[in-house]
Amino acid sequence: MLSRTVRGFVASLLVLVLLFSTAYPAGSITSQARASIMATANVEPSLGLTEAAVDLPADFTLDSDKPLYWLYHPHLDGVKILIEGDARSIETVHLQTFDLVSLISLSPAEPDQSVTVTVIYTDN
Amino acid sequence: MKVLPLLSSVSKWYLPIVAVASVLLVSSASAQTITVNNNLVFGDIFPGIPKAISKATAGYAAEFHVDGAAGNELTVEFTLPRYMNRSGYNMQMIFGEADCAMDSSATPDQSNPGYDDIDPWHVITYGLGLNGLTIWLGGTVVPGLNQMNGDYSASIVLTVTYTGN
Repeated sequence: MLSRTVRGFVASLLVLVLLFSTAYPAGSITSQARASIMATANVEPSLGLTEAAVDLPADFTLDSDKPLYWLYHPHLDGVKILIEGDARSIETVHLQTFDLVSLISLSPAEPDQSVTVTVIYTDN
Repeated sequence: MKVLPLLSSVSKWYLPIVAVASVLLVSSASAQTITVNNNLVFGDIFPGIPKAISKATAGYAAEFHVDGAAGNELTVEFTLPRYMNRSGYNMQMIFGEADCAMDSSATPDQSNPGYDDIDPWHVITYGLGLNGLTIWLGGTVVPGLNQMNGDYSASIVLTVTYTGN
């Protein structure tokens, strides 16, 4: 009776030690998890870094929500925008936070007249 | 001698209790999980123009959530890429010394996290809160002037390990 009780108690202790050591092995990590995510980007086709132009249709007026043309250059200080033709107005030339230039309002002087916008970059 | 009957009766319920307690110990130490809430999304970019995504920009910054036993200390380690790839073309990536943030509060705030401006290049030690731990990561992509257009991607791996403290 004595030996059976002692053996049972010792067996219980061994189970405890075994399971506890499995949970917290000395000197090693206890649990680890790993996850992977993706970094994604879409590179748009280059429009060229020296000059770009777009022909505006005669009845077209740009609005701020849908800029007709986006241009980009790392050195916006050097951007010049030339208007060829008789443009009635260019209300705003807006420099975006992402180093983009957008023309948000431009319309030709006459209904049947088209306007060409040319953007020239300089190095300064 | 009166102790022996007591031991004998104790051993009958002691073993199951020990087993249950041990299983609970194991499960509490291995219950941590990582959920990916958001990839690091740079969107449309243009050749020659670097684009940075702030860790505070919801929907674009990478976001992980770690679940586990509250109060436990863990280490967070990133395996960060230096380039994004597209079928043979590479595009440089930069992760700065303040591009990571964490929040273990009940209501994680990406714009004002509890632990901000963390260097993702080093192992970070932090504690799990009642609501786990939310981790954000920003970064910068640097396309070349003649960067080939198309979709680029890279893999970012996060490893979280309990310290046992």
